[in-house]
Amino acid sequence: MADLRPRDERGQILLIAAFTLAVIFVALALVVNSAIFTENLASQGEVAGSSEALTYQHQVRQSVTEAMAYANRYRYSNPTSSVQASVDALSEQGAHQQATGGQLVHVGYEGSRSGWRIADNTSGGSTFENESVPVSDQNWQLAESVDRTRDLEITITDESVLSGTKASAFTLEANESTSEIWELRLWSTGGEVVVDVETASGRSGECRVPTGSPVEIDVTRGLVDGQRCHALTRNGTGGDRMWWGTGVSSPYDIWIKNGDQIRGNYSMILRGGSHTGDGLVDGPDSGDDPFRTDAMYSATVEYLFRTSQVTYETEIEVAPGETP
Amino acid sequence: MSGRRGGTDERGQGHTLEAVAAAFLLVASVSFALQMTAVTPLSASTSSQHLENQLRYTGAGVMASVEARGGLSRAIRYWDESDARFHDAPDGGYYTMDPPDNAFGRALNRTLDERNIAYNVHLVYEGASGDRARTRLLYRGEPSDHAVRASRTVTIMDRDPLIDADGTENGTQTVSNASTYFLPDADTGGPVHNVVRVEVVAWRI
Amino acid sequence: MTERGTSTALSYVLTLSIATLLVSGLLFAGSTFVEDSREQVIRQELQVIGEHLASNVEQVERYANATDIVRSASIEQTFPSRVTGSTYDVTLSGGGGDPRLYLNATKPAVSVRIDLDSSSRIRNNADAYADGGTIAIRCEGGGSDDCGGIVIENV
Repeated sequence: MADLRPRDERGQILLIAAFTLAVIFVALALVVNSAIFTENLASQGEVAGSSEALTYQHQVRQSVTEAMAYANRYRYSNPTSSVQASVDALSEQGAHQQATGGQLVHVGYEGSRSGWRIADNTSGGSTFENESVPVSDQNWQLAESVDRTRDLEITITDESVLSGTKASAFTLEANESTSEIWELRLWSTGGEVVVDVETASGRSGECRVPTGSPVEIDVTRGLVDGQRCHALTRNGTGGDRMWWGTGVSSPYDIWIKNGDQIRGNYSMILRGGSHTGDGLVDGPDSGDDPFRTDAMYSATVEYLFRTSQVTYETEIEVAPGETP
Repeated sequence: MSGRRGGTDERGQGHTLEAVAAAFLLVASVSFALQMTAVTPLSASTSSQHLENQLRYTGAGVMASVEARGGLSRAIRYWDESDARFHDAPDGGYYTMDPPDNAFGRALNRTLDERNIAYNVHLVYEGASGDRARTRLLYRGEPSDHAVRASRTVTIMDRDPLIDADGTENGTQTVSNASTYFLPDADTGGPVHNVVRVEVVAWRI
Repeated sequence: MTERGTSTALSYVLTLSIATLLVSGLLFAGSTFVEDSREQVIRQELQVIGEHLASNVEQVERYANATDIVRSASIEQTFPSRVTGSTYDVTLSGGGGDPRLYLNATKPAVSVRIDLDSSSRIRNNADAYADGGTIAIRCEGGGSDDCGGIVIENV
C-alpha cells in the first residue's frame, strides 16, 4: 500500500504534463496556420483591377486617337461634333463590356484644342514644290508662327527623284530665327535613302534605309518605316535630344527647301499659326497642291474607372503623334 | 472490520474512478492535439497561383505589343468578303490548329505555342440587336480549370478598310460596305462602327 | 518492511520533485518555442502585408504620374485584422526623409519596416496610420485636380 502511492502520484503528473503538451501543440497549430496563410497571402497578385485602370486608360487613348484621325480626315469641317459622338459611343460600349468584369468605366468628352492640317495626298506622290513659286526657287514657307506640330508624316514614293548629295537635298525645317533652325534632309546614295537630322545646337544624326519600296517617315513619332530612328529621337543611349523642333522655341515657321528633290506625300497637323497664302488651297478636293483643312489638334476626355476596390478619376489630353 | 471493509471498497472505487478519468483525459488530450493536423490547409495550391498570374500577364502583354502597331485592329478586319469568313479559316469560320497569318497570329504562335500553352481567342462586341455577341476567332478546345483570361478593347471606325490575305489594306471594301462582315454597326448615326473586346483564354497543357 | 536504504518519504519527495522538474522544464521549453515561432511568423506576416501595401502605394503613385489632372485615385485592400492572434497597425511616413512603411504588432511587440521608392508625393503626415483590416491608400490634397500626397487610412 505504501508502495502504490508514489506510482499513483507519478501517473497524475504525467497526465497533467501530457494535457499541457497538448495545449502547446494546439498553440503551435495556430502558429503553423498563420504561417501557411501568410504564404497564401504572399502568392496573391495585385488588387483586382488596379493595373487594368491604367491599361484601359491606354486603350481609351488609342480609341480617341482613332476617333480624332477619322474626324480630321472625313469630317474636317466640324471635327468636334464627330469626336464627341465617337467618344459617347465608345464610352457606352466600353462600359457595357467592362461591366461584365465588375468594372465601371466612363469616358466623357470635355474639350479640345483646334488646329489645322496641311497635307498633300496625291496618289502616286508629287514633288513638294509650290506651284505659285518660280521653278528656279523651290524654297518656300509652308506655315508661319506655328505653336506646335504633330503627326508629321512624309512618304517617299519615288526614290530616284532624291538628290544624290546632302548639299542639294530636300530639306524640311523648323525655323524661329537664323540661330534656331531644326533641319531634316532626305537624300539618296543610290542604294540607301538617308534621313539626316540637324538640331538647332548643331548636333546631327542620320538613319539609312535601303531603297526599293516607298519609305514612310513619321517625323514627330521618330519612326522610319515603322522602326525607331535615333536621329529623330535621341542620339545613342542617354544622348542628345533630337526630336522635331529641338532647340527651336515656338512660335516657329516651317520651310521647305529644294522641294523638287523629292516625290511623295506628306501630312501634318499644326496648332496656331497660319499659312502665307501662296500655294495652299482649302479642302482636299481642290487640286493636287498641298491643301489645308481645319483639324482637331488635341482632345481632352474625362476618364473614370471604378471597381469595388479601386477608384481612378482623371482627365486625359490626347494629342497623338506629338513629340514627347 | 466494517471500517476497513468500507475503506477498501472506497479505495477500490476511487482507484477505478481515477483510472477512468485518467484514461478519458489521456484520450481527450490526444484527440485535441491531433485536431491541429486537420485544420491546416493544403499548401500545394499556392505555387499554381504564380503560374496563373504569369500566364495572364503574358497574354495581356502579347496583345498590348501587337496593338502598339495596330495589329489587333487589323486582325479583326482580316476578313475575306467573298468567303464570308476570316482569311484561310477552316469551314467552321474560326481558326483551330494554325493561328491566322497576320501579326497577331504570329505573336500568339511565338509566345504561347512554343511554351506548350493552349489558347482560345474570342471576340466580344455589340450584336445587331443590341445584345452582347461573341464570336470565336481561334478555338483549340475546352479550357482546363486553371485557365486565365486576358482581354483588350479595340475600337473599329466606320471607314476602316478590310485587310487582304497578304496584310495590305483593301482599296474598296470597308467594314461598313462589306455585306458579309461579321461585325455589325453598333452606332449607325455616328463614326464608331463597333467596340470589340479581344479575349485570350490560355491554359497550360 | 522494505529492504531499501531510503525511506518512503524521501523516495516520494525525490520522485515527485524530479518528475515536476522534468515536466516543467519540458513545458517551459515548449512554450518558449511556441513564442519564438509566433514572433517569427508575425514578422513574416507583417512583411508580406507590408509588401502588398507598398505595391498599392506605388500603383497609386503610377496613377498620379500617368496624367496631369487627377481628380481621385485610391486602392483599398482587406487584410486580416490580426496576425497570429495579435493586432497591428501601419504607419506611412515620408516627405522629409525617405518614405517608409512601418508595421507594428502589439503583443508580442514586433516591428517591420518597408522602404518605399523615394517620391515627393508621400507626405510626412503623423496621422497617416491605419489599423489592421481594410486599408485604403488614397491621393489627397494638392488642390482639386492634383495628387498632392498619398495617405493611408482605414475604410
